[in-house]
Amino acid sequence: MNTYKFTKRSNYAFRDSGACGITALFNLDLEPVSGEKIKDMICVMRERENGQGAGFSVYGLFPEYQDQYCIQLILEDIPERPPAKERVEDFLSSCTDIVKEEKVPVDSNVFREYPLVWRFFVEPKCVSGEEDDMMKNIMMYINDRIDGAFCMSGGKNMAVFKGVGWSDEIAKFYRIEDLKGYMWSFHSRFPTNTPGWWGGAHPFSILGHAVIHNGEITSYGTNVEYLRELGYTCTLMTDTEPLIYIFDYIVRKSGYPYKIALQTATMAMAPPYWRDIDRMDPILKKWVASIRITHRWAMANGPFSIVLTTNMPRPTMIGHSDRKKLRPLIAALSEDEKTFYLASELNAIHEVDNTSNYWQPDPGRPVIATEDGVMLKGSDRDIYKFAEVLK
Amino acid sequence: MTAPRDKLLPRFKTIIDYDRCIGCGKCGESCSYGCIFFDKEQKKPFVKKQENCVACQRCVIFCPKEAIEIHNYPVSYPPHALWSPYHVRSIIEQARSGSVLISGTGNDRPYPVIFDYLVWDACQVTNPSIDALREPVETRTWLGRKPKHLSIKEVDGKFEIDDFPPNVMLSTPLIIGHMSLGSLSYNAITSMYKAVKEVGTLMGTGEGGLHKDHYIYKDRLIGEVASGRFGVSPEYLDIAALEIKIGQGAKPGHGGQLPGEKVTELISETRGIPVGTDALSPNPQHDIYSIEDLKTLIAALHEATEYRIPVGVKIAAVNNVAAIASGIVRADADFITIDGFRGGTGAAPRILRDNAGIPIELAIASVDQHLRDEKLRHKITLIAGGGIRSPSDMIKIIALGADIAMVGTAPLIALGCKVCQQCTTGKCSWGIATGNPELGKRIDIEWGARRVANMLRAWTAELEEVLGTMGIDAVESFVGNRDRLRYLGPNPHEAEILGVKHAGERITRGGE
Repeated sequence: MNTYKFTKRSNYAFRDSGACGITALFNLDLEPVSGEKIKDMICVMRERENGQGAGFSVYGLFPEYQDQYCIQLILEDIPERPPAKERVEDFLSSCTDIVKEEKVPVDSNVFREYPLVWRFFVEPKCVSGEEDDMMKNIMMYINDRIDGAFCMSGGKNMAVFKGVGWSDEIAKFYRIEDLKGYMWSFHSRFPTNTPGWWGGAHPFSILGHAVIHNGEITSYGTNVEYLRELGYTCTLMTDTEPLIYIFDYIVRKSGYPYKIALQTATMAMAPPYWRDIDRMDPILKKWVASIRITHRWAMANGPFSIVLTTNMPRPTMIGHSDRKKLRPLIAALSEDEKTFYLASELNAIHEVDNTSNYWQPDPGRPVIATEDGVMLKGSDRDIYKFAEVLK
Repeated sequence: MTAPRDKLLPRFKTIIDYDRCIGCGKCGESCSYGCIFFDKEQKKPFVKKQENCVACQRCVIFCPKEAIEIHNYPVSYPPHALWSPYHVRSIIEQARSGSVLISGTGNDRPYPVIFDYLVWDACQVTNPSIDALREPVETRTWLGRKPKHLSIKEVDGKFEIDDFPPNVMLSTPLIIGHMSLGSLSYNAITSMYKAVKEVGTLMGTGEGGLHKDHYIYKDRLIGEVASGRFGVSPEYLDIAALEIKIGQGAKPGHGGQLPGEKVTELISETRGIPVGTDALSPNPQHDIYSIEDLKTLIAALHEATEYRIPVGVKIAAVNNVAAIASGIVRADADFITIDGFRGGTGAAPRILRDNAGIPIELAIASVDQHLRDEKLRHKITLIAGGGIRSPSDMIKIIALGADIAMVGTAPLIALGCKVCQQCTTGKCSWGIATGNPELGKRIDIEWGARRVANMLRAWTAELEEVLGTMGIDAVESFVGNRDRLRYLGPNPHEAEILGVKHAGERITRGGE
């Protein structure tokens, strides 16, 4: 019998996949924006969800605790075991200094049953320079080993909120109108065959990265095995989980210079076709082929459109799709060029800003926005910008 | 007193329908085994030595009037579940010769074929399948060592790739395995070399060296360095890749012999040995008695080729194959070829061919898993061969963890082979497994190259089709993707070793 209601998948669940709505907004001046706006964006795409899960990520949420990692959890107690929160706290105190902890305020009128939502602000006890790796392992340990606890996020100055319900319910439950952040992503689910579980909703997050995803990854088996070699364990049985680990590995762990890391990661996930690579000039060809050969199993095959958000090292939002663009993704920049949007459908963007300039990114080409503006618009020609820094 | 007599009964009965026969003599010309004899005076063929018939079908196919039939020899062996004809006949042969039985081709015993217990997935609803005829589905594959990540240096504000290991580009994850000139005819070998060059894939030279006529195919050949070191010369090292042969699936632990009578002028100049001498490849490589010795040879070959080409190692699939493979990666090999117990041979002791080693399906699955546990798998290219009969076997072996599938018998069938298992006799009526130049001429090189290239292309086309239906548009996303395979056989333990779920099984949470 499955005694877990929130923190574990049901015993007989298929791997998650399906339709879904994705939206994201990013204030490029890093000014805080209320959650109201992103809620309006996601809720308009009601036919893309079925009430089986929704969730959002917020960046810039904890200006007072910018230097601590925020471990945000959903917790449920198991009969005859100490409360899950105590066990998590014991574990965290063994390897981190807990600077502050608090109950995450929720609206108790939304769901008949819901888990305890709690957050810890911690500083890992380790050699300087290895904090990120340690926090990655702490998060993976909690999700893999501590019964009754699910860590939704563990980055700095950001957090993930998610659960089973319609997007408007999740927004109401976490009191999204009280939250403020400069960068948001919000996801609503239409899983094809599982009864949703709280941990299985998007975004999936590790350290300061979060991903929301619409699609199904046909290369899941290959990606998971690759990640196992790189030190990442996929336990959540969802197609989306490997994507965030691939991103973390290439952008943070492999040590690529920041100037090319984002391009490299997105290129590994959806590389150009060989027939296009064959036509490139020799330097670019060597680079693209080398990236493709080296990270061949990082390629995410099958339909996807995703939004990756990260603040490591700088606030960045990436919209990305598969090489055949089998899932929708539309990008827009407000008229004043201060707000960047990504969404499954244009109506989500029009709901909050109907004067923005919008465009369709090309298949398999990432749109990348940072505080400096929209760096890449997701065009086939972006590759030549990449070539400018290569030799 | 007359000597007691026993004899091996014929295995087949050749029937000539004289009502249909027009006396053209094609059958007698075709038969290289001395079964059918054509009497020129009477203009009539007759079966001279029935026991010589091997059912190679050459006479049947070349008869313009369909006047020849070959049947199983109509004599019953007394029924016995234990003492089958295989055992009875083997004892008769050994009682007569007193020697080790030698066979060609691969293991013909009725072991279960695990490939036949596997089925694969396809897209429905949540994920669109791809039409390979309209949209790109990529099969390009690279043979060689891969770094964990690129090593990059900054020069004048620009980034440069520091060093990238050599990789050979293949248009398809399908190569032809090692078969030497000597075990096969000049025309058969040339046909296959031409075909791989045309298709853009690779073939192994076997331990036969490389004839100077074949230098033009060097960029598409993997040169074998085996225990006899035949033909390993400076010219030979200028090749697409090198492979140290430790073992062969058909005869693990065994070397090989080409008897002196087969060492003709052609073989002599290719292998660098005198005409008429036995070409004996010892069982072990006598400079490799340990993994550290192997490492030394790999380093020597890397040095000799100035790190320009990948250097790999071929081993037979044996019990400890997974651990051995991880040792080989640590010894700096760039690729590993695993040859399963159904792999073919020109000649092998039948007892080894039929009993030694393990199936490639299990071997690849365990090697792949073991290398991943050891965090080594991403470094190397894994090639799997030994009993791959069809594009579906190729697809399944890739999903079980191989980067590249290797075939040997299949392209020979494309050249006319009917799997009569007489490779060791050198009498191949199809002109394939023979050193007899007259028989070798039976293959027209242009025709042979076309047939083999067609086969390679057809298999690749089917791979593209299948990947498309699985929603995968590049073959690398299918390597080790056991998630897309299901087991449909009698033994669930087999599925566990393969790391494949049973068909219909739902995905459950992993153990905690």
